[in-house]
Amino acid sequence: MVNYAFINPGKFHSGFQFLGPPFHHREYIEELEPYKNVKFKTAVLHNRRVYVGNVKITTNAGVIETLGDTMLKSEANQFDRFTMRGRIDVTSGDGEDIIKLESYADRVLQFKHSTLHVINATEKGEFLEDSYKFKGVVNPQAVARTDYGIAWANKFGCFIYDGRQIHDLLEDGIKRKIKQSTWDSFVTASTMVGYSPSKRQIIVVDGHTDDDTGANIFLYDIPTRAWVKGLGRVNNDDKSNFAVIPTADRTSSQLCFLKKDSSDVKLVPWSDTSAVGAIDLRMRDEDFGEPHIRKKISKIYVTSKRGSGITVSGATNGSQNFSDITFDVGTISVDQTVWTKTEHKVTAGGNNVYSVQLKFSGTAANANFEINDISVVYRLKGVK
Amino acid sequence: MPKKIHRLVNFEGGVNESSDPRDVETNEVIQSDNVVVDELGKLKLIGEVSSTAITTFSSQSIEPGFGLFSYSTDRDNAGNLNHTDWITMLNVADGNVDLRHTTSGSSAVITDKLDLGGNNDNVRGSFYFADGVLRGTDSNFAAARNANTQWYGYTDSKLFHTTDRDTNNGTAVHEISRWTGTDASLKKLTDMGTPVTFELYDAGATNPSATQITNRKNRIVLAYWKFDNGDWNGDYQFGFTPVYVGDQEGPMDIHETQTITCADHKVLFQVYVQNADSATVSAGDAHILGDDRIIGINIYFRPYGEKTFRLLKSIDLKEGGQNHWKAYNSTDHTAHGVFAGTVTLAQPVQTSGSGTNSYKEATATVTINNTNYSNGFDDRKGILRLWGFNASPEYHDVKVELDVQDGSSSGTNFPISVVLPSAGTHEFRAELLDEDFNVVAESAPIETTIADSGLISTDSDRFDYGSEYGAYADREDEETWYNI
Repeated sequence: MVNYAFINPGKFHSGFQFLGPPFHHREYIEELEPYKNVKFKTAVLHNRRVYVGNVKITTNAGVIETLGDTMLKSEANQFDRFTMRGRIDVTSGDGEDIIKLESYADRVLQFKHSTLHVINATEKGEFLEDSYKFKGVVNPQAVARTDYGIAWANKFGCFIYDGRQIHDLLEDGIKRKIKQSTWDSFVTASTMVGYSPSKRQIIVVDGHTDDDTGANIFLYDIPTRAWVKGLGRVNNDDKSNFAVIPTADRTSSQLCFLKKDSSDVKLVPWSDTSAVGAIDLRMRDEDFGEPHIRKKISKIYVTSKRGSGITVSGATNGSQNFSDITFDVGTISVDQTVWTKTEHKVTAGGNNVYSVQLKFSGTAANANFEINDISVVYRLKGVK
Repeated sequence: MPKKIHRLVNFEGGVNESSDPRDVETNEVIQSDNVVVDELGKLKLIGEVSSTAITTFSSQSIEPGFGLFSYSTDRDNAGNLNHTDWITMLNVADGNVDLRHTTSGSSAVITDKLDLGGNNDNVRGSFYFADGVLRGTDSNFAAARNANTQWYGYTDSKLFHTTDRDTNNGTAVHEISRWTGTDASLKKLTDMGTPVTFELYDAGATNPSATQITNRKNRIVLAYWKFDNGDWNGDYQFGFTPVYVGDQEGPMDIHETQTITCADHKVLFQVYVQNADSATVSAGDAHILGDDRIIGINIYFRPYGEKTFRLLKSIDLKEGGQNHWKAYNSTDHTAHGVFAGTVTLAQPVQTSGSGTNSYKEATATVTINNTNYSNGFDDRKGILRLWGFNASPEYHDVKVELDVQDGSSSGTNFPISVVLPSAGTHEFRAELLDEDFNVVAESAPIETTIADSGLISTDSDRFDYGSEYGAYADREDEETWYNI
């Protein structure tokens, strides 16, 4: 039988010579052998290392351990090699597991169930920079990477970490934009956060299962720092997590998720393009700068495009009763493709009011419906 | 009072539902369901999830909240260098991950590339991607699944180079260029699908035969041979670790059953990686050590009984260092490279005059008769070392080709210029050394008496303060010759 081997050095009977045992060579440290297997609930690449969190390890002795508080970092440039040396336990036994890891600006963000640990992680090592209570997440889909930082949502708010500090996006100075009760009922245990890079918008979806009511969203526009709400704007199907995926021609990227569709699974993108649907737009309660003076509201003008299906109504004196004012023409029936002014005369309810609040509602017949401006014609009444 | 017009033209403040409706900013609204304010001075309908799917995975199912991951590679599915974007789709029904190009021109779904071990029991994919490789695992620890974390990436390994890579990219015995899916864990060699076995073999007399080089892959033979005058003392044990792509070292296998025993020895090692009954490996074949990602072997040693192993040698499975790799045949090559024959030193002959009785330049002829000349001495050199002459030891300055000798003749002569030593009786001897200056053969000594120690001139050109002339301290003609 002729058998073969490949020999090194590649000359017959020519070996690597050692005059003596090379005791100066590096030691093999058994304790630093890579784990036999490492499963992880979350992972992030940072500084040419992989950090995995909430792990289930199998040691070389075959012992299986589940370590919910543990983060393991790989050796530098060795993305499959996790050893005991790379174990990082920021806190343990605190009743919280690691849910999600993200990295930004030399920091690893360790999201636990209710606490966020910000870990300064450089080539020299890691140290806990700060811990924030009530800034954790309950599911990994509630965290998204943006080009401004890491965004996430929980029952207490929607936040972004910009590398220096955490901003609550629901707040603007001393002002809170979304009621706590609204937000609390909107956010669920399966809330998802995604980032649409084309318009720099953060999209918070109420849940990812088909039994989540509504499949509603809150959308935060980073350039304008404005929130709006979307109703039924994502499919009410089982959904995967969000991911930002390059377009087919690789010139752009889009926010996508997988959704269950009958017996298939479909990859669908979030589209910034306006889509038809029912609207409920309520303006501020306008007192025209004179809260204590009665006014007569005589008419309003609306400049819009493709306004078919939209009705204007009004409430007075902060009543939120949008049948207080009656207009001669309540619908914006003009369906022009260019800006078009419509006039709506007040036929009842507009006299002797202190304030007026307008509401636009209905189902836009055309996706290109837009409002450019609204004018209210009024007259101040004399002070008695 | 005159009529006034109040204009609402800015809405970019978005919703402020928390403040009193009368106190919100003029550019804010109280409610904005399905109306977006991302363009200044304009209210318009918000977008929605597109009804047109980018792609469809037929007859699949997902675990809500999991399964989608996006990454990009330098290669397409065919392995060609094309920047390509991919997505994963974890089918919760079977735990397999499908991959799909999202880049134009290649829309095929590549099914079942990572098996996360699902059994329709809420398998939840968790992924990361680094340096062209996707790793995925089931993050549902509660499920009773044993699948390891999976690794999927393009392997581009040219293993066992037999020629220099700088010349036409060299010649590799096994060129692995393919997408590889495997366990992500860095296994020890004995944990491979077919466990790797090891053997230490004393190759002092012959190279390994078919007894050691067996008809299987997944086997490493560490051949060694010893020479005197070294510092290895005692019993030594050896361990082996695989080195994976990225210079990631796996766990060690300690070879428990054999040791090397030394007593003031120096030791040479040569590594044999078995390839069953073939000198070649087809590109499509599995890695002969069981994992496409393995690119090296680290060999460790420790004195028997001690705890700590230290690195002996890192073996590069790709280029193999300066001398690369060579195919070895357990039948034909057992004697290759092993010198067998004689080295004979003839009586030196003065370059001028005759005899050896004078301190003069002379020629010493060494005859090498390598009866094993045909057995694989390609590129092997020997060095002649002469003892007993004026400059002793003296190394022949031209290396000897070890395969020069026709075994049927009496040998090949190597005439070497020497300088005879001082007067007296001397023993001359020739040794054949290998490249590492180990003696592989030596001549029988010849004893010669030199009666006339020769003359050294006062000519300054020949004057030398070297100690080698110390033998001339008893010169007779002190006017002409100096004692040195």
